[in-house]
Amino acid sequence: MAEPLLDVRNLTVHFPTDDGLVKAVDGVSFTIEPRETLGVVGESGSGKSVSFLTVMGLINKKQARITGEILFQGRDLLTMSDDELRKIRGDKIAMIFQDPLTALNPVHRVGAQIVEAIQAHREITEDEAMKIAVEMLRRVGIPQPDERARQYPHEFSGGMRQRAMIAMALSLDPDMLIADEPTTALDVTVQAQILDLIDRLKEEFNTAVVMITHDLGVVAEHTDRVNVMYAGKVVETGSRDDIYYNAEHPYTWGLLQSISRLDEKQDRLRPIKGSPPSLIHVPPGCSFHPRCPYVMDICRTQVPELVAEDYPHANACHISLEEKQRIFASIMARQ
Amino acid sequence: MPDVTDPMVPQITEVPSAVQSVAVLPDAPQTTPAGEPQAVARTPWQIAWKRFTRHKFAMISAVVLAILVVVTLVAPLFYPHFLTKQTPNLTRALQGPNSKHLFGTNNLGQDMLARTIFGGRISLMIGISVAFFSAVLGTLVGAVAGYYGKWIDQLLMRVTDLFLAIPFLVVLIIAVSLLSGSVFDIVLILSLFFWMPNARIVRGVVLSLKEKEYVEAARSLGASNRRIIVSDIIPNALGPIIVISTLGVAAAILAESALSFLGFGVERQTPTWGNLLSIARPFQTLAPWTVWFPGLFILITVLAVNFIGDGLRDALDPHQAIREG
Amino acid sequence: MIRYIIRRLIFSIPVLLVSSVLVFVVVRATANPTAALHSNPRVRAKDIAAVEHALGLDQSGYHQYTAWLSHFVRGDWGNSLIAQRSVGQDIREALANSAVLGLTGVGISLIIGVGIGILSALRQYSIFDNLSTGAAFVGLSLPNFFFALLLQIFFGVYVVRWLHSSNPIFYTSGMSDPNLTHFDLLDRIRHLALPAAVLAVQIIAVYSRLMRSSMLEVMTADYIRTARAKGLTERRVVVRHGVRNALVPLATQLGIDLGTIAGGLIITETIFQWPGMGAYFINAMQNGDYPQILPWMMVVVASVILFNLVVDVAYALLDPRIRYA
Repeated sequence: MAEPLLDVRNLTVHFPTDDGLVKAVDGVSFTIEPRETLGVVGESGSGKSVSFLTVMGLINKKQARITGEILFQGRDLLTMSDDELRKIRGDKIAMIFQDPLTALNPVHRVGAQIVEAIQAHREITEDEAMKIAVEMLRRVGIPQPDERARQYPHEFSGGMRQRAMIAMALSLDPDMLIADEPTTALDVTVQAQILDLIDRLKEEFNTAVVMITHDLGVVAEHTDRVNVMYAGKVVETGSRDDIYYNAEHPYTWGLLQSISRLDEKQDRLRPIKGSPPSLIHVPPGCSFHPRCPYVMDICRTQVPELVAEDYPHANACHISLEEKQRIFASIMARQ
Repeated sequence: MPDVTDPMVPQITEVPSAVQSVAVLPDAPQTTPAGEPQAVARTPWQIAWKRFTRHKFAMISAVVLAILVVVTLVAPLFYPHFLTKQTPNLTRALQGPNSKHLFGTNNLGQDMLARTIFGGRISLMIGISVAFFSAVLGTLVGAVAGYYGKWIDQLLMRVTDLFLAIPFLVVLIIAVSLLSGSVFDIVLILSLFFWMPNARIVRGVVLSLKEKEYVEAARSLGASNRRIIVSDIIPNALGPIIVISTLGVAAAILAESALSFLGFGVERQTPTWGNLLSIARPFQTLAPWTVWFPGLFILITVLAVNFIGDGLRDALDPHQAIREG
Repeated sequence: MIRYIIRRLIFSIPVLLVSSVLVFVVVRATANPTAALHSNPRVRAKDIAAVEHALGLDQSGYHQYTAWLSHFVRGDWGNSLIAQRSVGQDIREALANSAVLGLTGVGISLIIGVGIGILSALRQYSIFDNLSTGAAFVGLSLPNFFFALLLQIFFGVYVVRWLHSSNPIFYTSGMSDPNLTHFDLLDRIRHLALPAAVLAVQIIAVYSRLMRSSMLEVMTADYIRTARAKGLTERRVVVRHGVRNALVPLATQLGIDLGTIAGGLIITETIFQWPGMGAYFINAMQNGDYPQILPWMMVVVASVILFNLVVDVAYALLDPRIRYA
């Protein structure tokens, strides 16, 4: 089998703080193939953002204890020098963030910021880089791109800013694009546009995409595979259909149940009871057990391993596979 | 020129925000850390005290300042002794520091240690009084302006803009020439000046507090404006107000010393540190110790107050509600 | 932009007018040049009346004001009472001298202060940061007149003693050697050094803190993370995204500091006998010489207004978000 584009092996990211050791990422392993789209779902504090910030090398090494391996195209990013990592960052792996207003520097023109990204990795003149920048703005659907390139970020609307961010990220034709909650700060109508844009561009550019979000609904139509994260660990992973039609972890069930739908009658919203755990005092055993409606004694003491009971669909739960399938079926019947 | 507000940043841990929301104390109102196994109920004041005591310099400064205040308060008990030490006696004039006169003597033969301590009484008293009055006045005006807004606010801003833009010594000197150099007048004038930066800062704090949810909640429950100001806004603004008042002591001491040094402050007969320096000037080359000690005391006092203010800022206002604006 | 500037300048005129009235009223109330005559029992009332008539003091306040204003706006600022010298000429010279001291002092210390602030922020909590924080605290707490006197004593007494010469490396008073007939740069520098140093301590203390906190705030902004994510070198991130944005808030403070050069260097100029605007003011106040004080105040007010405008324009240039507000 061809080598995966990204191969994360047993990644842990711990932050020593005054209040204790924050285990933001606690033993996470997964792979991403070229050109595939992975959705990463979880609440705030699940470790979904931190794991990919670590991939990009944006976590301050002086404040974090990082172990494990992050193999990108075969090379371990964690053992690379800062300079080598910097060359990959932005060029081969690009990242866009949640709030496009604050993500762009307000005192520099948008076109100039894109040119800066291009010139950091290519030996070309400013004029040539600007041509590419304008072209990219056009491709993300911004009208009159040459005028827009000369404007400042505050002159763009929220949706346009995010398009500009995407343009900047894709201007160097990266092999992987990491999108950290790209639509959370946008209006609902604009959200759909941006997601469609990413779908279209990832085909045109042949880019693998990581879609980090807390919203299963967002992920429903735009991903190939999904990782579900909780308290710094991956608790379930599988294809998109596996997760939606065959979920095998109580947390995933909770997420699915809490999606509000317009097309079905719902008596009430069903949130997951309890609140996210502290990453300093992680509950022993299965970290989800205090909130799990199907908790068993073993869950309180033994950490469940991520096991591919239903290969390649894997989950980390002590409940037997048949029991889980039965519970899932009854939940779906009730909906 | 001494700046009343020092934009120092508290100790922030640079943990990424995704982690911070779980691991660190949430925004005001203060609660106990999330996820702590035993339920320790700590009042905001206890939390603040714990934070203050971590600030080493502030603690040392508090001790130093306490000693200074006690010494100057206790001085009058030794009044007769100090009095003789301060009687002009030319035979003792211009001696450098020695065993009889720890700080030396000045041109009139007065003991500099005694003079410095007595000068300290007045300087400290002026500093604390001015800080207190200007804090009270500034808080009232600033809170009203910030809360009610509109023309009251505009008026406050325009008036204070005018006075704060002109070099403050100029304003003060002119004010002093309109009145007199009595200690009372100096306290009055300095308070009438210093309430303005205080009011502006309190106004800023109130503006930011006004938007907080608990104010909206109180309003929706039908609380009157006055009640909201008194029960919701001022208690939460207390932290920054305490910090401003403390730093105001330092600013007031510096201002009084500067004025007195130039001869436009407290009248010559009453010793203040500024006056002592002013009197020492003609003889500074002959008797430099007459300059060192009063000046050193000003420095130590102001430094101590600034450290304490900084410690208080870390303890009471970690979210930097005070920004000069 | 041009229209904005012109509009602001036009609005300044009523402000200046109102200020002129205020200034006139206040100064005339404080400065009483005939006070000495009144208190002298040997001067006859008739003579005092004659002097007052000559000075126009027997006319109504309104008349005095309009008379003065009409001369003032035509550039006729009259003569000082005591020395009968042209006030306009004197103020021009004083302004130039203050400008030399102020701009040199501020210019050099600004670069140093901002540099220290940037380094402190980038190496937060390092030894460098702690040292510069401590130094800034001391600098902010150190009364500038005390430091000035110390410098005078150090160079005037000790350096001279150690070098066994009458020539201190840096002069402790005056602006230039009175024996020189031409302009000597080295001589000027040696005279400028100490007063500029006093100014520098304060400027460096304030701006290093300001830049430090501004940098710390900017470096945690999202766009810094984006810049790093783009793969830019850390140096480029710090300079083009960090420093560039962090400088913006300093514009306000710089505007204030520059605007107050014309009148804010009172202490430094008095101690080192630098013939600038500050020394001029003290001199005039001590003499009650209101023909000197009135134009002086107007120059100070105009300078403040002018630099306020400069700050606003600078802000618009530095931060494009402001341009369209």
